Amino acid sequence: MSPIPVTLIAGYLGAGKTTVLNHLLSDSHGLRICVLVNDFGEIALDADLIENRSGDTLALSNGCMCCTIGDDFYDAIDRILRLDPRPEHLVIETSGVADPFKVGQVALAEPDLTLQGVVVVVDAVNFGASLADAFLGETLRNQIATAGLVLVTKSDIAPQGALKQLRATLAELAPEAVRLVADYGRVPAEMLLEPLALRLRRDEPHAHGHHHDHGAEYRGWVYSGDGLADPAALDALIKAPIPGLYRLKGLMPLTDGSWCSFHRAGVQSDRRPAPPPKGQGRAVAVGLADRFDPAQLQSAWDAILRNA
Amino acid sequence: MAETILYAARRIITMEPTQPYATHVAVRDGRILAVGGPEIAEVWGGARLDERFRDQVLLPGFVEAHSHMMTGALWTYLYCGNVDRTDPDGNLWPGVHTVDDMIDRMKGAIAKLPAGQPLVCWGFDPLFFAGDRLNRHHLDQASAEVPIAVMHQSFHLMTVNSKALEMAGYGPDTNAEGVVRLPDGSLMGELQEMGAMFPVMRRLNMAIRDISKGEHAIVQYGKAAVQTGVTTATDLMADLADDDVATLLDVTGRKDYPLRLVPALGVIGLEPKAAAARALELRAKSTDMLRMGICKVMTDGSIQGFTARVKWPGYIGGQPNGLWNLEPARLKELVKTLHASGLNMQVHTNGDEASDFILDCFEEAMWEHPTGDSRHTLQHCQMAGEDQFYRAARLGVCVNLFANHLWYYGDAHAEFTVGPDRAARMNACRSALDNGVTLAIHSDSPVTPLGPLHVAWCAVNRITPKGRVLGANQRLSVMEALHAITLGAARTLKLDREVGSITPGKAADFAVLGDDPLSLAPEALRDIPVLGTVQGGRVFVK
Repeated sequence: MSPIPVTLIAGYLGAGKTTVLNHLLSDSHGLRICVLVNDFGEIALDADLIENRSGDTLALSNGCMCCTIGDDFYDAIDRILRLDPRPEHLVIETSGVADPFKVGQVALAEPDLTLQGVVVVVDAVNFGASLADAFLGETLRNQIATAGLVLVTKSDIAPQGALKQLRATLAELAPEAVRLVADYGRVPAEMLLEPLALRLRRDEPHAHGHHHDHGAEYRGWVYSGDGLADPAALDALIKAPIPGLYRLKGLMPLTDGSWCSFHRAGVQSDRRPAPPPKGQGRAVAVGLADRFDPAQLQSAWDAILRNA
Repeated sequence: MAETILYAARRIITMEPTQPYATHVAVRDGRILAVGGPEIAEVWGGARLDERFRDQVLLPGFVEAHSHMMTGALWTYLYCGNVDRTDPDGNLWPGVHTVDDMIDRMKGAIAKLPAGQPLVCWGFDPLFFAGDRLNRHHLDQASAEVPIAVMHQSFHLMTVNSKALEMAGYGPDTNAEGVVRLPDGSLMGELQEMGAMFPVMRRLNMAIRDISKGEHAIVQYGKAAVQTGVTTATDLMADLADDDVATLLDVTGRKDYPLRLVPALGVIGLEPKAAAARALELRAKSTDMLRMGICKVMTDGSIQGFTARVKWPGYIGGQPNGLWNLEPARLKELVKTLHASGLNMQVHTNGDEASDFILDCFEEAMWEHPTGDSRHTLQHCQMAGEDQFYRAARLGVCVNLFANHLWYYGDAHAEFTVGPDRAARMNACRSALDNGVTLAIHSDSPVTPLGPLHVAWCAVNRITPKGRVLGANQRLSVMEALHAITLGAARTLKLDREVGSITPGKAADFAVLGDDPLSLAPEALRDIPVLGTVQGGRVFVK
């Protein structure tokens, strides 16, 4: 059984986490997603989308489900891992004061889970004031620093000056994170679940390493070939700061003859041993068009390859 | 008419100012009828004299106002701590001091394990264990086939053997933060925090929360209480689902159950109004032996885990400030809602920023809903300064300080967390009393072992294993410390009308001691033998 990808949705009270989740649960992504929330209170779904409600679980007609964390987060994770069939993706809404890095450890440690990404929702109207709060400032700065993707909400009603200040603050706190405006929680579901799927909607994957655009917003990169990856160099690459890169994933043979799977989502990365697949090593990446330069990734990639 | 029994004792320490000491106590219908000398029952028509406590000292039954049900059930697992301890069934477990001792004990236990079962151990404290830090190679000597997990006393760490690591899928490529490595880069077997422990716990079926539920856990908790002189104890964070409550009502209602149980509803996962409604519903189901209705609120983490919210200047190592359990705005709403519903709150606050914030919440709640004697309690409240004690007193807020920390973590606090000056004012019992705050002191068992006399010993002596005296000016007298484990603790639970002192009308709850704490050196307090208890007039002494 392949591990369940996990996306964390963090952000302070009122930032719009629930709006993002409502949007995601109503989207037609076709995936069986399980969303884990603190309480159902703010989840506002169409009544006809809700198929069944029992205790800590809401079952939706599109195959998704929503569970409450209850009084123990790890019990909730354990319950989800026992579900049959297992969900195809787990989205966890963390508390407004959680440290996403700490929460994410379970997805790095548990072989049945894999950490896909950390998304932090920031409210353009109130974020500045929250940062200045002595009880919250350090916690929120830390959340932003952990983020691979920052979603900015309420940009439409924020004063111009505040928006500009917010951009500067985010650039300073999380220089590597990808930032998107997501007013009313509107963000492509792929950005929360699997950014690489963005390409599948727009064009077919190509063979061999070259890059190509997917419209104005996102830009992709693909590799397939016979090269062997140097493990230490690969580890360094998947952690390296590459502007605008959001998602990198692959299955590669290493110089010692074994295979590994690796991935990076935002600032989170992971490499694990993997059984040899049929065919060649391969890797894919996606980033935001205005900052991600596939040519830069390509040259970094070439540098880690050794000839077979 | 029910029989009246007159117990004669070497000494009775009552905790009542009118008559602090006595030699005889008359008991009828499970309650104290009269207290005084040999003639005290005469006005009541006489009594049957019972001299079984002739050589013993009676105190009010101890009230442990911050401990957990898991205390008794943990003995389901193999004890591997360094101190000699007696399990709830009365078996003595000598402390293990070396790896060889530990391996021997494990091998013995493995030989008796049903096939396919893992070996789970508890009580291990690396701070009190000489030699190399425990690692998987040590545990592999006990077994390479049976998975072994050793929970550390803090419950935040565990050390496991190679088999358990393999089952969890941990290997050279694991990059989770809490999976510790040896200097050569290989896995050590130590796992830090739940994220890293979870994969092992799942695969070894270590349902630690489940072992604190059900008949066995409740029965064992009662036995552990008898051994330590406790007649009233909390389970200070419980789910209290309907089936749990049914079991609690059943077991605590039995004629031979020796403990008045005070479970606190854990409210952090609940919406405020739902939490209040549930607590009120539970309160209405209370019986004499099962007192429900109090709520447990969490605010921050632990000081030694650097997750407590502390005021400037923070942790001496420059660690970032700790974590709130819930957004401060939501915490405040929760506190206000529970307060407005007339419910009592026991609030976990370790760091001084957390206790400050909760005092703010209480004050706001009280302005909006002046309810008189709400008697909320700050639990742990380890770093509070004079300002906070003064304020707590004026708000009618009690404190239950974690005196046992002074011994178990005092050196670590002085050296690694907050430094010697703030460590000296940790669990500032003297300040609490001098400011007029109602004071209880606790063990947080199983975080530190159940045993109010040890807690009192800590508050009286404030010494550490390395010989420090942490804040000599904060020491209590023996009498004050005994008050904090009896009447003081009863007050924090609003049970002082019924228990906590030896006076006519209260429950006949006594701790039976082998010696007199007031005639021994203060250093000897923790060594006084506890022979058992009398609870509701029933004698639980071997």
